[in-house]
Amino acid sequence: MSHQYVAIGWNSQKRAYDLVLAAGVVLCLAIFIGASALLHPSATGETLLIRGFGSCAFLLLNVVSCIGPLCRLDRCFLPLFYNRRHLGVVTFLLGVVHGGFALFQFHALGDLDPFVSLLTANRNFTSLADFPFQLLGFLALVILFLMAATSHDFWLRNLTPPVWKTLHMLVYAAYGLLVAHITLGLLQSERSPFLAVALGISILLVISLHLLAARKERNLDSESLRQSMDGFVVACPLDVIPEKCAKVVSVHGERVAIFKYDGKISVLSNVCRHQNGPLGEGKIVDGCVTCLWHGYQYLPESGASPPPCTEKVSTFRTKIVDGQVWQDSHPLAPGTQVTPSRIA
Amino acid sequence: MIQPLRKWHSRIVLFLGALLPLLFLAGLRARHRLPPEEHSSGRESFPTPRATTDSVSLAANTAASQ
Repeated sequence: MSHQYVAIGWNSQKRAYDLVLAAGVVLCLAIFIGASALLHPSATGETLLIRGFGSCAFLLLNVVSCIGPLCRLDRCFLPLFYNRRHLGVVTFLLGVVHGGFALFQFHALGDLDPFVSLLTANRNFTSLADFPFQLLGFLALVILFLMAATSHDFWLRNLTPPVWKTLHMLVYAAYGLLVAHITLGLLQSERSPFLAVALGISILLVISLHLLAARKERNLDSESLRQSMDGFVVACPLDVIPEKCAKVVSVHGERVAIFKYDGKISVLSNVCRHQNGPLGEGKIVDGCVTCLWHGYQYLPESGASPPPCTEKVSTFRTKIVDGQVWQDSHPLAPGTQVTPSRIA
Repeated sequence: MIQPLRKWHSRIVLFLGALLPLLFLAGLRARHRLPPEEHSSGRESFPTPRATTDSVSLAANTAASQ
């Protein structure tokens, strides 16, 4: 975590992540372009590059799209999440190369401006087989540009996390546009079943993982709370909370994280101020609640990040009655100090 | 604060979950309806002929390739 902006806060984990990413991209490009050149010796270099970079970008977008639900299904995928934004930026860069070569090859050698040609050359919007699929790819690239350009924490903080998250949910629109771009473009002219099968599997995989993760999340939200008294509700039994970890419960539709540490109980909002990560899936490290997404830290008693950092999350008043944790259903202002409940 | 986003996220996923398979199947169906001569067998599909639909660019491309 950082209290000031730096281009990229490099550390050994990020370097290793990006090295693996770069090696994977180079390997993917080499395999795809090499295999295509062998199978289609008459193909031009530009065409091989267009298809190679396009395939690599779409493959990477599939990986990016799967990381979120995979992490919700199993924590072992969390290391992939750590630098997911770098994957997104690389996806955009690969897409730019693909789009640039395609624009040059198919639109730059006529009398029209290449972008005018791209936008106006094909108007068969009513035909699936002749649909202007390049426009779909162009729109997807615009979305990926917006996301890549605002991927830095500078924009995250200035746009505020909810706005930033909303903006970055456009990745689903980009994914849909790219599926349409491939289905109505390459799939219409490529006879090999390999492409159709690969595309079908990728769609099925991304959607299935999202639905499985959504089902798991819905189970958590549907656990209804329970009796209430003086604005307090029964949250959970004490013994289900692991030491220095949290139990996440849903109170009136909002999730809270109930932390147990050093014989005390504190309740915080489950939403990290950085990227809205699940604080309750983190741990207490060095006396601070530590988000498992990017390591942002908060003091459990106040929900405030230790100085010089300034992030704050909401806290809740708590009490322990007959081995049950009770919590106020109304959150206090972010950063409000609350005396933790002592475990007798 | 984040709850509305989660709801929107679920709706978007469900919408795409229904739309994309349908689109994919429609694309496959449209592909099989193409007359055989419009199908390009592997090698001929490099570069995709349908991509060059701008007649001006097409002429220029053709001229450039000759």
